[in-house]
Amino acid sequence: MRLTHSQIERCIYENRWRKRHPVEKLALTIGMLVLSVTLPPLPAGLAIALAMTMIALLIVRIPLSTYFRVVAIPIGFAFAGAVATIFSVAPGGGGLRIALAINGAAIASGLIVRSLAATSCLCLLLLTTPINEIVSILHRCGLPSAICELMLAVHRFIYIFAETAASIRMAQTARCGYASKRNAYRSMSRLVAALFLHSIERAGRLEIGISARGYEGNVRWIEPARALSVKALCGIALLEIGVVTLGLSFNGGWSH
Amino acid sequence: MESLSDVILEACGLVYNYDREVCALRGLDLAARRGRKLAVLGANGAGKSTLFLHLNGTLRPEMGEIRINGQLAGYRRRELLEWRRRIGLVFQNPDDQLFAPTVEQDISFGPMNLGLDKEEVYRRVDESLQAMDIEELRGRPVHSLSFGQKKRAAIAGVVAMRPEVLILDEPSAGLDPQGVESLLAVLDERHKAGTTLIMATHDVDLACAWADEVAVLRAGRVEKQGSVEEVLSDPHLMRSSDLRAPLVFEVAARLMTRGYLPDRGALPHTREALLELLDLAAPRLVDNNR
Repeated sequence: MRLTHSQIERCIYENRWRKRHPVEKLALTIGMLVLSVTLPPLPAGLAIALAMTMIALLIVRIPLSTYFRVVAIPIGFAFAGAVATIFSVAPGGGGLRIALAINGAAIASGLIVRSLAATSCLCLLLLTTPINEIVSILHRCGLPSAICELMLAVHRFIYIFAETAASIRMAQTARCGYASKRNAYRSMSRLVAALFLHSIERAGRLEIGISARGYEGNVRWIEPARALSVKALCGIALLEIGVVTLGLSFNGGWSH
Repeated sequence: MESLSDVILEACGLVYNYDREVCALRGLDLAARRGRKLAVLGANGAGKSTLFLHLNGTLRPEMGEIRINGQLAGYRRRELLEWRRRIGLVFQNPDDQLFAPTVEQDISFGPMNLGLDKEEVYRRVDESLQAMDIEELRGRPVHSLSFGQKKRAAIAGVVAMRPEVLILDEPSAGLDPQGVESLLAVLDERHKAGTTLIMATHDVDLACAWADEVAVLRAGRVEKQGSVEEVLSDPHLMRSSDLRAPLVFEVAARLMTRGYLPDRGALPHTREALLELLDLAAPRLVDNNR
């Protein structure tokens, strides 16, 4: 089955951490993300990946299928990259030679563990926190309003884009636009071109639409009120200190 | 005719061209009276949407002027904000209007732009959600809504600014009959609360049943504005404007000429009224059909 927008949406808006303060979620996931990049991958990375996956599945109760489908996409890329690091290409014997890289397996496995850890952190954040709450925290941290608004506009447009693309594609398919390879390439190119025109036109209409409600270059709306739990923050700090201690005391030697 | 003070929003001699070839508005006059329901009828391309963009100051006419409560509307920043607070415009496509992450946030956008304090903004959001009967959509992300829900959310976003005049561009477009009916019901509540309503549509039956007054647009001008009966029962006007007389008028008129109904009665505006008329005036006819 394919991963759909609505699956991710349902997860974001119906998970058990929906009402938690975004700062708690950011402290946990971004904190762990920083640790998974800075600490040696073994054992800290493995511990982080495990912990975050457990939290996602058992505490937040993200549906297993959604979670693994979301994680699988970046992990696929990580594997592809890791395979490349096992080999090295060097000149020799009158041409190029592919050989196993020195320490290649260790580098590759370190890379994979690190990616797993980092990915599980980001996915936990993305699957529990609506984008507007993340952006509103970034805004409070001093990110300029223009960039925040741009992020939200882009996010909103992804959906409009996807919808438009889907309906154009359907219309093309209905008229045999994808019946042959030749047709498919041509239809695809037209779809992309149409999408650009559509989006420019759409952006123009949206600007008129929001200026009708008094938009004057500043996007403002209410932010949902969330209580920040000190207890949760303490727990997150403890967890992160634990990971640091683990990472520094059992340095497995694969420190790449 | 009512006195001039009854007119809350008035367009006088509007001229506007999108480019040299296309004349969108050519000397358009329109007057909306306080507390009434005005339907603006016109075929595709007659200039309904262009007119509406003028009525809330988005487009500026090359000639002519807009008056709010008899006062000339100005295009300075402060004046525009005040203008848009008083004259709310709901677009035909809700996606042109909704852009905040959640319904509640989108509704708060207008009130926030008016510089209201937080408590008042929350009050307005609650009030609008309630007015449009979409309280359960409060925290939902905008892109997950159905078309009908989006439409209501878009209207709620404008209602939250408490406009004196609510202008709706093709509000029934894309809705199923049940959706249209319930939308009209919530709009009626707004009307009862004192809001003047203006609606663009090319659905003459809808306009006939809903409006107090009708204006017919053709090629960038108002051909005729007046009571529903006066305008919509004019077959020549309707034909020349690429519209048709409402079905209830046609049926009632035919029944009158054939002698089934008394000749000098008021025309029914809704299908219910037509059926009732049939029951009253031609009981035998109805009995035979049962």
